[in-house]
Amino acid sequence: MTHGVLFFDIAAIAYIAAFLTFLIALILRRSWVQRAATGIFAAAFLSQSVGLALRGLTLGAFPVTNTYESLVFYGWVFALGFLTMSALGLLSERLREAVGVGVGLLVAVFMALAGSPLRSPDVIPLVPALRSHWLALHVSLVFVGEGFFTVAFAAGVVYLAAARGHRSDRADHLERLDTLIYRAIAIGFPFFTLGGLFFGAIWAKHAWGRYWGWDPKETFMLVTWLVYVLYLHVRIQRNWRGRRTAWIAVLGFLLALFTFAGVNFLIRGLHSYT
Amino acid sequence: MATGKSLPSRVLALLGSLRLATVLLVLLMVGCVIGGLLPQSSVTPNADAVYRAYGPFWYRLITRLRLYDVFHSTWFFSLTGLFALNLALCTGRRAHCTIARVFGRPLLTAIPEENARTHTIPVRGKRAELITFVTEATRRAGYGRVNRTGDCEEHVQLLGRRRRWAALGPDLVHVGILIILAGALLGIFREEGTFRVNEWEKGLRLPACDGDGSADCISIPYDVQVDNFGVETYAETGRAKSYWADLAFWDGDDLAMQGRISVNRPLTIRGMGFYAWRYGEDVRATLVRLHVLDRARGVITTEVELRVGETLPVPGARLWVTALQFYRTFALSDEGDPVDLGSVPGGHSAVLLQVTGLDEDGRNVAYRDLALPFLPETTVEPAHAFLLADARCPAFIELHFARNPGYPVFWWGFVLVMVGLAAALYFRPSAVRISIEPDRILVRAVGRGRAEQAERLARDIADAVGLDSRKEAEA
Repeated sequence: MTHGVLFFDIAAIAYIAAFLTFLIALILRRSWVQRAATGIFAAAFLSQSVGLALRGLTLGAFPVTNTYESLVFYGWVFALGFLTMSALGLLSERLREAVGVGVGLLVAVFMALAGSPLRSPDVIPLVPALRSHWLALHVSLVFVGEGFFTVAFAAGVVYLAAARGHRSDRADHLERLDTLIYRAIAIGFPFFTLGGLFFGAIWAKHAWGRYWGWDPKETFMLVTWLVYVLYLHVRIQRNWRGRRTAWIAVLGFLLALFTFAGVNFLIRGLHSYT
Repeated sequence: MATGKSLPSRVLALLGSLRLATVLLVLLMVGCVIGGLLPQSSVTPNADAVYRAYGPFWYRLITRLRLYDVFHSTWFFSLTGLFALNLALCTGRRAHCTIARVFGRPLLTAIPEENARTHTIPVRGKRAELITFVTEATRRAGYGRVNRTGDCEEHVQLLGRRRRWAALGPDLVHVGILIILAGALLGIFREEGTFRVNEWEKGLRLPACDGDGSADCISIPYDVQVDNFGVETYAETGRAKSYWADLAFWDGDDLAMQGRISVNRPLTIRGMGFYAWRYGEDVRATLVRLHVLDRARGVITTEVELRVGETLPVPGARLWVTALQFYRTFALSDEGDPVDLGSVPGGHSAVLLQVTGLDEDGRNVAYRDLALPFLPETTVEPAHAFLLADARCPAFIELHFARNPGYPVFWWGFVLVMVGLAAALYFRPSAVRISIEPDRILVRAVGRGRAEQAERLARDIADAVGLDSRKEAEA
C-alpha cells in the first residue's frame, strides 16, 4: 500500500476499462459513451498519480529509479499527454475516441508489464549515481516528450489504418489526424531535446566528467531525436503529409520504446539499471 | 543546365540542400544504430574472436569500416563534418530571408495564402480615418508592427506582424547545433585521466607530472592529496548510498584548494573537474598474512605479512615469497584457470604465491603455490606449506579528472538550440493582412491560430470602426 502498488493495480484495471469503452464509443458513435470512457481514463490517471506520489514519498526521490517505476511513470506520461491534448481541445470528438483506444491500450500494456512477476515492485534504495536532482529533470522531461510522441504514434497508427482503401469521405478525418501527429511531435520534441539530450548531458558531466560518451542509451536517444528532426524537416520544409510522415512518427516512437526498454535489457551500458 | 547557374553555385546549393540533409540524417542514424548495437572498443578487437563470431565476410566489413569503433572512424567523422557543412550553408542561405522577415519591411508575398481565412467588414467613412482606426485596432490586437505595404487604386494594404523574432527559431537551432559540434571538435584538446587511492595511501600527495595518470603521479599542474574517503550506506540494506573523498590541492608548498567531492558533486580547480567515479575493494593492494607450515613436523613455525605485489623473506627458511594475486572467493573456471568470484558469503579466499630460494639441500627452487585457509593437496613444496591466515582488502576510491575546452561552448549551443526550438515550434510568427477598400475591410490572418486571430481582429476592427461612427454621430 505504501509503495502505491494497490493504486497501480486499480489504475491498470481502469485503463483496460477505458480502452474497451473508447472502443465501444468508436463503434457506436455515442458521445455519452465517449464521455464515460474519458471519465474512466481520468480516474485511472488519478489513481496512478496517487500511487506515484506515495511511492515518491516512500523513496524520497522521483519515482523513476528502476524498471518497474519507469514503466509506470512512462504510462502515466502517455496518459498525461492524451488528457492534456484533450483538455486543450486539440482532439476532436472522433479523434479522441480513436487516439483514446490507442493510448488506453498502450498504457494498460505498460501497467501490465510493470505488474508482471519479472519486475519487482519493491522500493529499491537509489544507487549513488542516481542520487541527483537531475534524475527528476532528465527522466521526467524525456517521458513528457515521449508522452506526446505516443499520442503521435497512436494517431499515426490510426492514420495508417484509416488511409487504407483511399476512401474520399475520410479525407477530412485524415487531415485532422495528420495535424494531430504534427502538433503532438511539435509539442513533445523540445521536451525530449531538453530532458533527454541536454539535461542528460549536463548530468553526465556532473557525474562522469563528460557530456557525451556514446553509451548505447545515449546513442539510441540520439537516433530517436534524429528521426524526429527528419520528421519536422520533411513536414515543415518539404510539406510532406500523410502516410510517409505517419510512418516516420510510428518509427520514431518504436525507437523511443527501444531506447527505453530494449537498450536496458539487450545492451549493457552505463544506463543499465534494473 | 537550363538554370544557367555556374558549377560552384550548383555544388554549393547541393551541399546546403535539404535533400542532402535528409540523406545525411539517415546515414548518421544508420551509423549510430550500428555503433549502438555492436560492442565498441577504441582498440582493434581480437581478430580471431571477430572472425569466429561473424565469419570472413563480416570480419572484413567490420575491420575495414572500423565498425568496432564507429564513433571514431573516418567515415563517421566525415559524415558529421559534411552534416555540419550542410547546416552552415543552409543557415547562410536562409539568413537574408530571415533577416528580411524579422527586421525588414515586409512584402505582400511574404504571407502564404494557403489556409488563410478572410473576414469581411462592411464600412463607410473617410479613408484616412479608417486607416488610423484599423492600424490602432491591429496594434491593440498584439500585432506590434503595422506597415502600410502599398496602395492599389482605391485599396490600401496594411500588414500587421507579431512574433517576428520567432522566425529566427530554425536558424538559432542550426547555429546552436553548429556550436555544439564545434565544442565537440574542441574536445580533442581535452585533458583527462583517472587515479585510484586506497586506504593505505590516504594522505599521500600525488605529485603532478606528465605521466599517464597512474597512481604514482597525475598529469595536472598541481599536487593532489586525498586526505580521507569513505562510503555512506543505507541503514536498512547496507548498500552504498554515496561515496566521498576529501581532497587537497597543493601548488608547491601552498595549499591551493581543499574540498570534498562525492558522486554527482564534483570539484573544479582552475578549470579541471574532479569526480568521484568508483568505490570498492582494492584487491591489488590486499594485505595477506600467511602461516608457514613445517611439513615434517606438522606445525606452524612462522608467519609472513605482505601486500600483493610485495616480496619478503620467510623467517627461519631460506625462501622468498611474493604475493602475486589475491582472490576474494577463489574458484576454477571451466578451463581450469583460477578466477575471482568477488565477495561471496561462505566462499574461500586464496592468494597466488611465487616462492623462490634454496631448499634443505641447497638447491635453487622456484615455484608457484596457491595458499588457501586450509592445506590443499596440490601444495608442491616439500618442506614448507603456506596457509592463508588472514587477508585485508583495503577500500579504494577512483577519481576522474577532466578539463575540456569544449564545455563552455556546449552550454551556448544548448541554450541556442532550446531557444530556437521554442521559437520555431511554440511561438511561430503570425501576420495579418488588412485590405481597406471603399466599402469594406478585408482581414486575412496567417500563422499560428490564424482563423481565431483573424476573427478576433475583424471583431476588434468592426468595434473600432463602429465606435468611430458613434462618435461622429454624437459630434
